[in-house]
Amino acid sequence: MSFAASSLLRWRQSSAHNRLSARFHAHLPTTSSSIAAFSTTAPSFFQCAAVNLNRDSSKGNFNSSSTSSNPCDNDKNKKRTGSASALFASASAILTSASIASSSSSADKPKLLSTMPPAAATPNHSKVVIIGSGPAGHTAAVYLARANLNPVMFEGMMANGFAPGGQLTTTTDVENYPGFPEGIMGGEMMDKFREQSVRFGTVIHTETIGKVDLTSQPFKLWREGEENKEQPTDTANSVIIATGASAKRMHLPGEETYWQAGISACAVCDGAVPIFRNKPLAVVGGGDSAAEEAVYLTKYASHVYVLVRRDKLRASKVMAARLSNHPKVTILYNTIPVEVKGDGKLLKSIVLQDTVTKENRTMDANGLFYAIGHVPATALFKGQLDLDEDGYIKTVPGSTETNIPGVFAAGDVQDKRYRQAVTSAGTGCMAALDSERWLEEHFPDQH
Amino acid sequence: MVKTIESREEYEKILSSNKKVVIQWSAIWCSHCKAIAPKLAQFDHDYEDITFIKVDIDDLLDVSEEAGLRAMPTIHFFHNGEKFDELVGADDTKLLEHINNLAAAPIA
Repeated sequence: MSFAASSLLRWRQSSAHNRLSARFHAHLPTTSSSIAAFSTTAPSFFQCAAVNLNRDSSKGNFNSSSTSSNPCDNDKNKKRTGSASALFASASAILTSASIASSSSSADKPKLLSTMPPAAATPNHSKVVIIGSGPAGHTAAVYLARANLNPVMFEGMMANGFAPGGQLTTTTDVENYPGFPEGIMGGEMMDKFREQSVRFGTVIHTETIGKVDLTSQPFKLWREGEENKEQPTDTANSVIIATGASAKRMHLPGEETYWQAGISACAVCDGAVPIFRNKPLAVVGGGDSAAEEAVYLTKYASHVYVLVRRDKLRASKVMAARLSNHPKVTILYNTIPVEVKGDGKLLKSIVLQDTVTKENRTMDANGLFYAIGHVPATALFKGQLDLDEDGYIKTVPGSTETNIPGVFAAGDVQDKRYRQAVTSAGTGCMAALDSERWLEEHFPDQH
Repeated sequence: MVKTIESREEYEKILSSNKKVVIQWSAIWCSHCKAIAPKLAQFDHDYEDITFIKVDIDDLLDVSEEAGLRAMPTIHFFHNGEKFDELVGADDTKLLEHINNLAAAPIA
């Protein structure tokens, strides 16, 4: 076998490992009886697998590097994921042979096992699936997990351009979420939310849902990459949509050329790159996000210009003051960008327009950061769920119910008015309780 | 996890002593970098002939300045000491493509 082909094969084997392990995760709650049946033959084995599963789901299905006391550490020969993969492979082999009665002599060779067709040709079924991993998604997960409903969450793999955790992963200090008197970094906060979800048993897949069919029971979901398959990858009796919103861009003339080459929608992600060091940068927007990003960028920029469409900021008084008082910040009111220019490789200047006089002028800038709000992530649900004119999911006021019984929406995806981390967490809880009650009524035998 | 480079010397040594190197330019605040890190760790494990390293651009400012970074994450693919390919943004499908291209490149 050629070198390249063997590398490819190794990749295929281990990504099939992960698919197997993902299915193993999903099966674990519903096939606990079959695990118990096998526990007499390999007790420490399944303890091992169960512990590893939990750890792995907290690390997004990859390397488990914990060395805390657990039955698995007895075998000293294991090398990093080698051990976890081998365990999954072997554990899957036992479950597979139990449920499908296919004999596999490759059970003793973990590597080869993964070239078997995936054990579950049928979709993974859950009582409830959560799509989204921001504060709404995780709060729903904690409540549902504690209600022993074994929720499965799809936290997304760069879904809508966000890392798992959602919009908060692109902010630095969060100072207005109650419980953190010293403030907390957005990314850290989402790590804690995730930890809590996992602690109570939420199964989390670091994958994006690419397609759904909510028109009949059970609800059908397709993971990204598998949308063309007739069979969904996953099904659920209840779905909580907590997909949040994605950053708005203006799509100015020149933007395609300089996107990610000076133009960005995430100051915190990109601000630190060398092309912005000690250079003039611009932030578009007048709210708290814009203010926060502008202050953040002052660490790197020579100067930060905040382009505000109106004659005043929308930001909270505290943020507005911080901005106005900052020596490295200039707020340009009644100003919008209308074009971006550069040398073909990097952004060099922005054409600004005065919204009152309509006059244009050009400003040197090496970076342009959008902080102008978000668009709810609802493309997946068009034609199935009722959306308002701005694309937000319509919910019955005072609840998280959508037009489809069993489907609930929480967080920014259904909230045009408040859009705060804490209100999202609140509606996440409401969605969990709504879903729990609905399941009790419509699928009581699953409790 | 992928090895983090601590100094310019280490960086240059790795590039000169390994035929195929994948470098992730990363930063603490970069959530997209964190999102793509598990994939890189997996590839590090799977592709034995490719060396994977990570550089924190705030820690190694001079080295990262020379890299010509525009946005984060940026991943560079080096072959025989020269930059072979580049990926900007946390796209795992494209990442796999680039890695396979590097894997297929001749060792000479």
